[in-house]
Amino acid sequence: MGTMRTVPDFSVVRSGHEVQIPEQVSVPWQGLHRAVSRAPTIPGPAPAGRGGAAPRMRSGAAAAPRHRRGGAAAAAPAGAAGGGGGRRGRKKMPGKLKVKIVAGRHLPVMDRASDLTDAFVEVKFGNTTFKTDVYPKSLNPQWNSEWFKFEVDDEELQDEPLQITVLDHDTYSANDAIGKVYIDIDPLLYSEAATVISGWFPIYDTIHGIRGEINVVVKVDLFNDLNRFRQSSCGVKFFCTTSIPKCYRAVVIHGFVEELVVNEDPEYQWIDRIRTPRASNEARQRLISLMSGELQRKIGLKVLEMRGNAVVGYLQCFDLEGESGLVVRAIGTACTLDKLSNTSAFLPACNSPSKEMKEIEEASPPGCGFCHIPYDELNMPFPAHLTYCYNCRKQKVPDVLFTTIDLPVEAIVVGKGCLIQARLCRLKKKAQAEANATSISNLLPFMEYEVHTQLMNKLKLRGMNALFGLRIQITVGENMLMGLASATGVYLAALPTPGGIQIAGKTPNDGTYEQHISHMQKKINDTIAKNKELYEINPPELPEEIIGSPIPEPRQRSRLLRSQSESSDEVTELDLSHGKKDAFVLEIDDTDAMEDVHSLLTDVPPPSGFYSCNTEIMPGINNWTPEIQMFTAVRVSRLSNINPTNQTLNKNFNDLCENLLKSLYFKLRSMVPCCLCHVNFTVALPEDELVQIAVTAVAITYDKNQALQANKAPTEKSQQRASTDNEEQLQFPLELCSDPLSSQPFSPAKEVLEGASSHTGIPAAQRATSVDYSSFADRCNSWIELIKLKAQTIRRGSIKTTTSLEKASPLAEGYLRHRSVPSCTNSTVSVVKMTPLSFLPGAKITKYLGIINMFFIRETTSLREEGGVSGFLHAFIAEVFAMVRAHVAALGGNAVVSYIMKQCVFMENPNKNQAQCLINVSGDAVIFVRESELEMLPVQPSAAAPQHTSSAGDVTT
Amino acid sequence: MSSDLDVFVGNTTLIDEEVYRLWLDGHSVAEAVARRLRGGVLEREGTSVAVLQSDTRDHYRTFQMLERLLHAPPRLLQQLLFQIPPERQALLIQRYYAFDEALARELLGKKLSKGTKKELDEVSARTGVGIRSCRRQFDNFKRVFKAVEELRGPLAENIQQLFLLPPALARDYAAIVFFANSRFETGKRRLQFLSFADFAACAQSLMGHWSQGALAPEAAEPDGDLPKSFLQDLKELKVLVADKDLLDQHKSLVCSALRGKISVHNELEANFKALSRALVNVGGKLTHARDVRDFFVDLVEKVIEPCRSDKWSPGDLRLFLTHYTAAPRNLPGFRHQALWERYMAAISACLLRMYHD
Repeated sequence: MGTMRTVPDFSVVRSGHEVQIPEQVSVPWQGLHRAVSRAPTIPGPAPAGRGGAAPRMRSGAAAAPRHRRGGAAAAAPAGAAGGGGGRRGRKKMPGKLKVKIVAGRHLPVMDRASDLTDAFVEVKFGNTTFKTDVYPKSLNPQWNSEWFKFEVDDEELQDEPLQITVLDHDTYSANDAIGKVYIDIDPLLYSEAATVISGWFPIYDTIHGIRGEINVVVKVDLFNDLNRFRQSSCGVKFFCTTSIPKCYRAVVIHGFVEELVVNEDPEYQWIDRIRTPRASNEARQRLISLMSGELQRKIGLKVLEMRGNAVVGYLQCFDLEGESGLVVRAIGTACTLDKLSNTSAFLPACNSPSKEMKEIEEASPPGCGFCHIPYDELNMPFPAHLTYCYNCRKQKVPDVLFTTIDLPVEAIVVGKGCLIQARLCRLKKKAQAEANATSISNLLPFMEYEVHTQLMNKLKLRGMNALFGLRIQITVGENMLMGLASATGVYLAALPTPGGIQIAGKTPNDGTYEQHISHMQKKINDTIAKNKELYEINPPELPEEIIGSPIPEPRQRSRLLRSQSESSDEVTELDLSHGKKDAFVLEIDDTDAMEDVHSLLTDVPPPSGFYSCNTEIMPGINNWTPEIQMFTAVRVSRLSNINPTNQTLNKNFNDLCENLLKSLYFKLRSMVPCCLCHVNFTVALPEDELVQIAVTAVAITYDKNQALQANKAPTEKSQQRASTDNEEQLQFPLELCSDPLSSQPFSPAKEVLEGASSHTGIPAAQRATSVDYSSFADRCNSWIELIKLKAQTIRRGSIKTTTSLEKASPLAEGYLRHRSVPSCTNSTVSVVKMTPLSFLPGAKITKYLGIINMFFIRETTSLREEGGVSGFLHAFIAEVFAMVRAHVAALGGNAVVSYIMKQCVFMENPNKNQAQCLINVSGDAVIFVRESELEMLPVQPSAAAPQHTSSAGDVTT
Repeated sequence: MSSDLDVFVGNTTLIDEEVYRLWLDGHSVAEAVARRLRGGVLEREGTSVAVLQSDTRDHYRTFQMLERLLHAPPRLLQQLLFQIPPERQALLIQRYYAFDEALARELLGKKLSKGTKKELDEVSARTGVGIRSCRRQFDNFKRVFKAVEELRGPLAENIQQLFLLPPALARDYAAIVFFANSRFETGKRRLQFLSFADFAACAQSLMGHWSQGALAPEAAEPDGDLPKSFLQDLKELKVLVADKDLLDQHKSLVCSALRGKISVHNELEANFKALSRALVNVGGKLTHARDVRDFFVDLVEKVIEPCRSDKWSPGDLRLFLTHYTAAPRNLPGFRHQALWERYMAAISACLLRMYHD
């Protein structure tokens, strides 16, 4: 136990430095939390202007003792959201929670003598506990308990999980715990979500895993009238989905919300020295559950303050900071959502940014507007090579585009896309504190530059000109840094054809060397040609004279730039553009560079029948069939080199990723033809020489034969106009625009850009326009991406708001008439689909049931007996999936969308035969209906369809 | 660079039929990988040995976790840990409980005890079934046996319900349980020509005609045990051979009926009394457990072998048995017609099934 307890320390380092989506956001907050925890008496922000009229707060004092667990210094900043001191004495009772324990099954044998179990159940909520009778001598007890009723206030309802403990009654000694079930009752608090939670839940024990199942029914009766209830944050809906959920429309997007709560980690309390690992794990699970509840409630309050009713793109993260505590933080975008079935807008779109954006939408031509540069051509923030848009011929486009967003639906793409990864390792000296920070800081710019170069090279090698869904993660370990960038490369019709890659040697007089160079050159050229064929990239040929445009030479421009922004440091010197368009020269000046060129060529394309991307949908494929397979793969590898160099590390890391991908393709070969979507790699460096890679993705099958047909007939109504236009333009792209710059295309965009002056990212007003990208700024961890994306995405955001409704699931909507999967009704367990995407192919999401946000700890002291580290983790991940599915099924759902495994912290101590793992997952529980089934019920679609189009029309026109 | 930890978990559990078979056959991961390599998967999929190893290990882990559930198939359907489509669940169960007939033949009638399990090494060597697979199959037999031992009602149906097996497989298991319960001798040299399928068919006939369930569906006794009262009653049939008049009349009735219809009429006339004595006495002995063991030995030794040496064709035997069973109806003073026909129905079915080379 002792060693296991110390392991989590590494996460302190990680969360402090790892440049990763959530982590990066956390940096300023952590400072904040430390301030708070040192001075726990600091009252929450005064609830100015909302006290009297809207008495929505519980008293801060009532909340405080509950969070001041363990009595130590770091109490949660309770009352930060509340503080309405006048309400202190008043006992609120807005709800009654009712729980019924029906039965258990497949319980473990707890009494060796009889091979049976005398099970009973404790039901705990807040500080109240009820017990069922003991059901003697059975592994399948039928308790059929009465309704246990908890009278609770709404804060408790939001914060507390319902805790169900199954125990074995023992007359002579202490009762043995079999396991627990935590049920988040939050979904029962929205008026539109689930009304009852009922079903079989796995009974989970942190040491033994799942031990049987228990059937539970949970209901909430709310006493308040709806109005008053609305004043508490209970009614706020949460969505993990980063776009506007399918059955809603955004009336107003209010902006970014974030919150953080801190507590002492039970694992580091003095009591942990004397309690069992089980007790410690359970204390931790329960605490995190409580903290997430609290966090969600506080975010909900912020949303209400902004007059919103929902949070989209809710993302919650944990930091295990060892001795200094446990931090739970979350971000999201506050919105006012309107259910599509009641179309009457209940709020005037006062602050709606969508209104102004409409103009932009009209100004920019469909399909390529998002590619146009948002800058004044003579005042670019960085040098770029510009040409006239190959689509509209009116505005300027760069020759390459790196974006963190998904491919916009209206984008005109040639051929298919593909997953592109840049992988990089850098050795770092072991160091402490400031010295460590310095050495990391010194390495970072080089890593970022190199990652960027790799991405660019690999993009060109595939004959493509744009990256979407770019996600860069730089992981900091004790003795090395690892960078992994994933993106989906595509060929955008609006951008120029990328030139090839030219390699040049430094010593041209050496004959064999030159031969070698030319051999490499040939290999590169062959690879490009092969890739073009593989990804079906055959853009329409354009006569050369069209391309010629009065754009100043790149050099000139960069000089201009420098003169205007002298203050910017040396980084602007880096040439981020390709330089000349047609020849991208790689200079081979030393062995390193040679290695780099070699490594370029090692990426093996996926086997035939497979495509992969890290975006939600695969550009160029739109005839999905309903079969999906979500999976998580985890690998931990030991870098065995004694004296590693950057090159060997790079190679090892590269091999590790390539092998992992290969392994995925092999495993999923029975699904061919299929596409791996939303391929999400997470790298961690848990110890010296250990690299952990976790991949979550979804494999979706598609119909090869219908590919062409589907391409020709975009099914989405709102998209149709644009698409047909686009097609025409694709086929007749020769209309020349004589006066490209006269129409002042940049003026609206410029305004937006000027607004984005904040250094931290995009201010709320702008952020509000990009629902989908509430976290995009967090994603770009390098200044290069930040600059680029800020510009690109702000602009893109304008399109985004108007299209998010349709965009959300072009496939789901567009998919029609496919064979349905044979129903699995004869199975006793209902099937629950899981996907990291926000939609299900061939299906329509009819209801969002609430957010799933679960945190589990699993520990073992018999690692070998459980099949070693692989056996242990395999079982645990399977258990986590099972518990997610059970919760969704109990809510009445049949799928989880926007599923994400946010954390998978694995620690082992093989010498002691121990291992511990923490997993945090989240997603949206939904009900979906197959479109084939919708067709059979003519009433439903006819009711839903017009509403959908009308509301979509509201926004787009 | 070695992978310490390497797992793949799908929301829908991936089941590779080929790997499942290799696992069921008791191969180690290394052996399984070698066999998959020989199967040419590398060339087909263009992958690497490392990938194959990782894949095989993943599947093996999954199967090991599933094995616990496969021991009680209804649990596999109810469990929440693995999301497996129903048709895949059925496949898992069916393959897990499928057995090698050669092995089952060896074990027929043996006590499913630890002692027998220890002898599996030899059985494995004789049958060519891997020792690990032998043990698994043996455990399956034992598990099914234990589960239905005390249950009432038709054996095959009970097994089907408890283990969710396809009907044919459930019937085979019923036969195995029936043999293990009654401990019929099947290992004698002269019984070697009989296959598992022969014995299974016999077991079904015996249970079908003789067991309590065959008469009253809500029988008090388990199907695996032959009802004691019935066996006791069989003693009454001895009158057919003990009473000389009855025996003679029986013979003349059968012989005259078969005249010109069978090719071995002369041999029939010569052997009728011996045959009839054998057929009746087999039943008369069934009250003693020790004699029950010799049931099949007796049938072969006293009926099948004499007929075979007289070159009876299967058709001859069929005709003979039909008339032999029907004739006592016309015997004056024979009052056990119903009992006789119930008895002979099973015996005839067994004999016809067993009458081959």
